[in-house]
Amino acid sequence: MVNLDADRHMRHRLTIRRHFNRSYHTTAIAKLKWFISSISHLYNAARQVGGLDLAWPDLEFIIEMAGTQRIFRGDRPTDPDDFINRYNLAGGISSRSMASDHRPTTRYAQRASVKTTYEVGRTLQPIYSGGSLALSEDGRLLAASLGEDVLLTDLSTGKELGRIEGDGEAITALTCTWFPSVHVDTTNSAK
Amino acid sequence: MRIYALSPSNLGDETIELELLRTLRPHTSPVVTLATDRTGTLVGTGGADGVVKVWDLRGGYTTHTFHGHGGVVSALHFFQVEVVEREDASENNKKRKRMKSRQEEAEAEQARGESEIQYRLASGAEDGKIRIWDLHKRKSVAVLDSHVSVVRSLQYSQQEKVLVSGSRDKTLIIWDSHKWKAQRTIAAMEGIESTGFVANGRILYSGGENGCIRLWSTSSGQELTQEQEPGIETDEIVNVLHYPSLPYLISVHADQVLNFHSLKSAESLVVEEVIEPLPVFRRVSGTHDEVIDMAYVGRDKSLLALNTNSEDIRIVTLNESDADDATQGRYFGADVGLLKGHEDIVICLDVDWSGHWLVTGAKDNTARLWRLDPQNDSYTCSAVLTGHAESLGAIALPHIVPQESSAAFTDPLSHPPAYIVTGSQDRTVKRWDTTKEMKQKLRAKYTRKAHDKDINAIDVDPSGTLFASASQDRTVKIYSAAEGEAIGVLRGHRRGVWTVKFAPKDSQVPNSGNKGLIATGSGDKTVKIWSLADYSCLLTLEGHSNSVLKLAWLPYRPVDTRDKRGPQIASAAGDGLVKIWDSASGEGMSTLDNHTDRVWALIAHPDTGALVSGGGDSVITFWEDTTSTTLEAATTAETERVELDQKLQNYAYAGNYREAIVLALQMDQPGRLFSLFKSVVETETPDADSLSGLSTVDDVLSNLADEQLYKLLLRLRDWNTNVRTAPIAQKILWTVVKSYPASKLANLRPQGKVGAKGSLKDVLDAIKAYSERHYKRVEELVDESYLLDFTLREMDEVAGDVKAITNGTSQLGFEGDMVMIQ
Repeated sequence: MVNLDADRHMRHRLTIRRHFNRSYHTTAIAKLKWFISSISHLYNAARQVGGLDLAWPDLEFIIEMAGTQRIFRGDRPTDPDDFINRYNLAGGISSRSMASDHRPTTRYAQRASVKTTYEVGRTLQPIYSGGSLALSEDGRLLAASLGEDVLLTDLSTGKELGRIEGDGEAITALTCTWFPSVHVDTTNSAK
Repeated sequence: MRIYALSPSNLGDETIELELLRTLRPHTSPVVTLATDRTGTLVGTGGADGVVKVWDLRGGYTTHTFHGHGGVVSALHFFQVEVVEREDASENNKKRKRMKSRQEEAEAEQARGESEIQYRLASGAEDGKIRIWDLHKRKSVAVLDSHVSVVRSLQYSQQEKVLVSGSRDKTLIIWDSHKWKAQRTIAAMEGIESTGFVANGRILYSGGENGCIRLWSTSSGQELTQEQEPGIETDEIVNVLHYPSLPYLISVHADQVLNFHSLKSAESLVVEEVIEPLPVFRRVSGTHDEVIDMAYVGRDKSLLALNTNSEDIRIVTLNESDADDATQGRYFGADVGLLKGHEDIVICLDVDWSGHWLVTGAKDNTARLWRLDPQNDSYTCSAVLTGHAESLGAIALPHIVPQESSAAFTDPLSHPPAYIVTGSQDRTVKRWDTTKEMKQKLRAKYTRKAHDKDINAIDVDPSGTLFASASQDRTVKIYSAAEGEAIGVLRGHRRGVWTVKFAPKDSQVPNSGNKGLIATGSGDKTVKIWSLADYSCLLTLEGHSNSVLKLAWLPYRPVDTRDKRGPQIASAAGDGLVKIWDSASGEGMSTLDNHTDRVWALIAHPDTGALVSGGGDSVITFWEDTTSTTLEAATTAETERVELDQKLQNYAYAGNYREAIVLALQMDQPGRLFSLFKSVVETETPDADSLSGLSTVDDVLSNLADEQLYKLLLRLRDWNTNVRTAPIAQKILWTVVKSYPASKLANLRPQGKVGAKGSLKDVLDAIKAYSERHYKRVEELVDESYLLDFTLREMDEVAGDVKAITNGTSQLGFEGDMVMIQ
């Protein structure tokens, strides 16, 4: 009984082993001997576009024996755009990342992607929002109330020349005088 | 009252520096009116309490106080009168000397002789009374009581020696300055807000309720301008700005618009004849109120048409003018045109491919087609579309660019867009075909009942064969433009849809092969992207916190081959933000924040991708696409980082610890710094008398600059929080503490901000807290080790050979592992 059991056990192990060996050797080049795979890809790329004129018969033999399907996941790639994709595929990387709408999640991939950015260039802002206003005698400078502030605008260029920050009280009257020096009076309602 | 001195800034730019000279509290009640005299020495204030005060502007003290008015002082005016010298001249002289103004003195000197110049102040009040005050005698000279309502404006003409007063009682009165009697009363038939003299006093101008500048003859009181159509409420003139030196006057209207009127025709008037109203040669919009919609105008897109919540469309230039004519002022953002015609607020607008044809839809139930010729400053209405029963909320034109060789391409001004589609609150859409010989009125080609509620937006597809209407009934419908048959319905929004936009051809990724996209924005705060192939919703873009009000597709402009962005769309929303989305991935690209109110309007430049947004805060923001520069900066930073990284590794490899530590601190790379210290602390051959492990490192640590030392402390604090990194942190901390005197450590300050978050105290507190925790843990471990020792000893006594047992257990564990493998 014991012997029979051992014998069966032995046979069983042999079957497993044979199965294992077969699958090992068929996938060995692609999965385990990664350098053979890499060198095949590099060799192929160089032969296709890299200007390598010398053939390497030994490697050609290995590629033929293992089969291009296994090493290159299809026929040998000839388009430079395919080289890296096929290499990645052969290395076991999911084809998901090659989809056109794939959104990379790693930090590196995010850094490489292009983000649309905008910055404020110019703005057009109000110069007068109703209430009092005053003009300089040469017609260039306009002092106008804007909310609680007073804005000084150059009427010939549209540029803001200055701003008087308000104090929270409404501006009820505003006047300019131009001699001997320039003054602006703003009057806030007295509390 | 505040007095500011203005002086040109010495920074070289054109700004003006403001210096607050004085703050005064002139009246117990609010100051209502202010006036200065011609020389700029005196300022008069009129209070709500009826008191008039005169101040010395420089000295800041009161020179006169006049009581007399019963109500609010509503107008003030300083003027000078010539008085024939009489016996009391000497008395006058004395008083005048009290006035400290030198100019006055000089002028008085000149005038001495047959007559002299005296200062007067006229004040008008709410009750219609005008008082003339003698500044020399400090008393009232006359009370002019004829107006029955608020006196709004007072002006004196030195040439004609008359005073004019304008009042809300719809009259102008000309007063003789000798006897202070009413010389003439002019019935203006409108409340007068501002009046004054032009043409050396021969002509009077007035502005008021009706919003028109009118001219009158001073001598006869006849109106010199032709009758003008009274304007609406917002056209009302609230003020007129004029100085005798200026060849124009500026009327200020209730809608904050400043109109510049040329006085050329009035100045050259010799005889009294009726002339055309003064031509307006320039407009300045004080504010664009709420920017509801806008569009690029002109072939080169150098103008912007603005719908500003009013009856008129404003056209502003985006070109910086090189002509420096002050009166022209064609600067960036300056008003260059006005499309007047609608009788109620304009709600929507659209522009054709060329930028020469604009359509507007308004609350007055009509739409208008405008022909815009910026080269010749000609902006005319070429057709009125009447037929809708309610206000027009949506309008669109086809945007097909004609073939480059065609006449329509070379001369778009004589080729109006083929048709116009309008949508109204009456729930119908209409198509209107334009014709070559355009009559003023167009008739609708067809009318289709479209929705159950208001139509908010309409857009025509890039080929001109379809159009889409978005409605408050939460749906968007797609129609064939030729027949107006509904061929598709987009359902999915949970609130009314505010905007719909077909993706133009130049937004699509070339050769992407899809039939076309359409985007909608809704009150449910989302943007949806739909396929035109089967009208299915491809993506829902969520991120706005309020209704999405406007969408704009960006042109497809890839930066380089790394650029994997799909067609992009910008959305403007009620939350004040503009967001950019990638319509292929649904990813939010960026958020643009420069508005404080709803963003109603958003357009994208079809070539540059620049965005313009405008909203309820009256601000129009011009956004520049900085994608490529941002990318460049990121790439440069990345390259720099890699280079520094390599440098750091080189230093560490070569054992150049000083350079390595300094570099790691500078690079802000705690990970690198830590591994550096780790290798030092755990070195296999520690230097005998070293604190950290290597005496060279000790040396480096004891010679750090304050800033570096502070940074190191920050890192140590962070490492100290983690059990795994704490031992290294403790060792380095120990080295640091041993290397520096306590006073130096105590005086460390974070750079820049003092007392900000992360000050030294916080750092040390954090280190202390965690160190204490670590010590406590170690103590507990030590305690436990005693227990272990004790147990082992006890076991020794019982079993004899503890070692054998432990070996046994480890062997057992090994066996277990084997079993698991099998």
